[in-house]
Amino acid sequence: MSNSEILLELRNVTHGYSLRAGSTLKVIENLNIQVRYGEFLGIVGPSGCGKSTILRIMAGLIKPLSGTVIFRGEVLNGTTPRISLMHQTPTLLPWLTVKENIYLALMARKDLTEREKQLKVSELLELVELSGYESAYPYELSGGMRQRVALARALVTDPDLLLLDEPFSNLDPLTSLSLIRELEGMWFDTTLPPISVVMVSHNIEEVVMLADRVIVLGGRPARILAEVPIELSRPRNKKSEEFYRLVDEIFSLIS
Amino acid sequence: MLWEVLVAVALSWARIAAALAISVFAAVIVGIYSGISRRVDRIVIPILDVLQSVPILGFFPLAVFVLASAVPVLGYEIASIFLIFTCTFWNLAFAVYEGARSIPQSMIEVAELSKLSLKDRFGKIYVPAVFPKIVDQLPASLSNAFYFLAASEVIALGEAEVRVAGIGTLILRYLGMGNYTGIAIGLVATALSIIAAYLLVLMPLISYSDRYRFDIAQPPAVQRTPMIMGLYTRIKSIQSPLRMEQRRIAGLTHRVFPIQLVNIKYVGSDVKRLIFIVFIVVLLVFAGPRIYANIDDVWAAVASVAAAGVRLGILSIGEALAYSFSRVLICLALMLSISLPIAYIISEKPDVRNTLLPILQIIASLPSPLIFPIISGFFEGGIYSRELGAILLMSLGSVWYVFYSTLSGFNKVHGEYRELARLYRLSGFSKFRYIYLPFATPSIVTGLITATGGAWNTVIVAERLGEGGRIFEVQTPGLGKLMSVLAEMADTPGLVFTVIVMTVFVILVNRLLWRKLYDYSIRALRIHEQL
Ligand SMILES: Nc1ncnc2c1ncn2[C@@H]1O[C@H](COP(=O)(O)OP(=O)(O)O)[C@@H](O)[C@H]1O
Ligand SMILES: [Mg+2]
Repeated sequence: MSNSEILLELRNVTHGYSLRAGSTLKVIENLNIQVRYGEFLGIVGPSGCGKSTILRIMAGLIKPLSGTVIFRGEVLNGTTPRISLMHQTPTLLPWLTVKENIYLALMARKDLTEREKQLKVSELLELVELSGYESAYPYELSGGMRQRVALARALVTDPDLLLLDEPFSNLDPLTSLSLIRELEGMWFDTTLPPISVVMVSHNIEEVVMLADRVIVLGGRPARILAEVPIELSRPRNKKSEEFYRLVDEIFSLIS
Repeated sequence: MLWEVLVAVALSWARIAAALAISVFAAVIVGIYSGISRRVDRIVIPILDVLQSVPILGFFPLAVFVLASAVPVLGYEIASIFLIFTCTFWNLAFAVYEGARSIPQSMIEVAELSKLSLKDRFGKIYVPAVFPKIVDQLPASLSNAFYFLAASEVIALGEAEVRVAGIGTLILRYLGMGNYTGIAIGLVATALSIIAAYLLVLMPLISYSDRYRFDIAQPPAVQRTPMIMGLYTRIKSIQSPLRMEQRRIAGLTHRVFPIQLVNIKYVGSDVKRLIFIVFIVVLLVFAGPRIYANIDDVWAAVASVAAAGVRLGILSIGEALAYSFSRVLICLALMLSISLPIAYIISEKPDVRNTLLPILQIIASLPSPLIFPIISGFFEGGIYSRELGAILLMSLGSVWYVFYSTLSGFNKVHGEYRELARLYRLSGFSKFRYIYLPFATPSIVTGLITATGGAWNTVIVAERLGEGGRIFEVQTPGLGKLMSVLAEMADTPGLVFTVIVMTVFVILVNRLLWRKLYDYSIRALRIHEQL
């Protein structure tokens, strides 16, 4: 794979957290992950294996204890508007309306005029099918709607890389399925700017549903157990035999 | 003289330690029962709320009663400890109450279902929930005890006045004699003893309580241990087998109550008010016969208090009240403008927290009313500087409440919200305005409510203090100044009248202004349990 195809790369990244007694718990060690341009990368692993930590490192929120993060050919130091992260929980601010919550992501941007910002917010509201709810407050929304607001906020900055931390784990199965369908639709909407996505999850099915490639994590400190390309045609059918076989294969890798 | 000072410091500390121990014990019992039982909650919390508003002078009659009924000699000591208790108990009780309230109902149900023994219930549920709260409040209680050090060591008994031996009364004596070397030695000894108490008792406790603490959701990847805390890492390494459990409980608490609401729902509920009235009626029925037996004395006392009100003049009392209230309001504004930036910085940088917080706590504990007469020359320039001095002194007495509530409010901004600000590179102002301030507002208002009570109490000390020829007082009227003069003249009916006026006023302002502001902020911020 040539360098020009790589959007973001973790090189020999090691990270851990200090325990109260003073020792350090290593969560990931010497991890190498490459995210390609335009790719939908899935990362699966059991709960607590370090998935959220990896996303935080990719977002520039955490500086790893050792190793480097390369983004578009340069070392990543801190956060950038080019990378968006959607947290596991929607983290909306209860005192702001839906519109204001999305606007928050653009608030500090100096390269856009006020009009452009408002326009982008409306655009995104439409994309996640929340037009008409702009003046609603988060507590008036259902769980799925809140997650969509969070998605809109993550996308409103036009990022090159979208990091999704278990975006469906707090939703009921029906809502999460419809959200997966929506995300899939957006993903293949050629009118939207191309974007790379890294989605972490402990739910294998939803990852196989969406990803081009799946990295399987395991162990402590976590390392890459396998890398599985998903070459199923889209839209994918959960009931097809190949789908089932892939889910099974990844499942047996983890357990 | 040095020997005299050391003995006095030791005596004062013995009383304060006794009062603190009783306060913690009583706060745990009262706070936990009110926190977990709705019935007790309805009765106890309004009573605590009222009693908390009574200034320390208001407890003098009770102290005298305690005195009279106890053994001579020891009676004065008991009365003094009781007066210190009235400075240290309330915030502890409310903190324990808040901690107990934050235990999710489901936890209590699980404990009930699994038939957890009382001991296990305390060990696994209540202690983890309230222990850090108690530890957090100890500095506030301690500083309050030292603030009113002199006041609690002088017990006015009608015409007579009894002074128990202690550093407060000793410094007062030196002040009367103009012995400034003595005062300096006394203050330095007091300060050193407070620092020692922090290093040897409070810091280890704080460090130990950290294991129960989950306010800061996202500790830094590698924590550097500041020197002062490094001393206690050994204590930290004691592993608790309950830790996982507590972590789980705390996690649960966090999810169920992302923003902890202090329950003040009892205001405005007619049913609860009715129960409160019934309680008072029952109390009267029990106390009634005894009162009836001495009915003439009671009537005479009531009449003399009423007469005192007329004698002092309603208008001049109103004027004094207005002046004092303005001082309280300015004081609140001052405390808030100091607390907001410092608390913000500390909550952003856990390293700073561990070094700066102990230093602030030690400063807060110094008995400022005793230091003040010495630096009062500073403020003698004119009316304005005297006013400034009084307001500064009042602020020193209760800034801690505002500061700590603000800090704990900022600490409620958990990790993911802090990350939002970094992801979208919000400016310092936006971050403060849209994330930190709204998160902390309920806590800040709670702190302001407590601090108002505190500021009213300090009015008595701040508007007029000193001894003998060295009196430092504001030149405009003030309720505290009036009370202080009345106490000095042993005008008990007048004193009782002014105490009642102040208490009623404080409660009214609480109900009509602060509680409304709190409810309003909750509504305006749309803080619901689901976040
Ligand atoms: N801020 C932190 N401090 C200490 N330990 C942490 C912190 N964040 C995560 N951990 C620990 O690191 C491990 C990995 O966490 P995380 O990345 O959240 O895993 P995942 O997202 O896969 O569930 C877990 O064992 C967790 O307890
Ligand atoms: Mg996670």
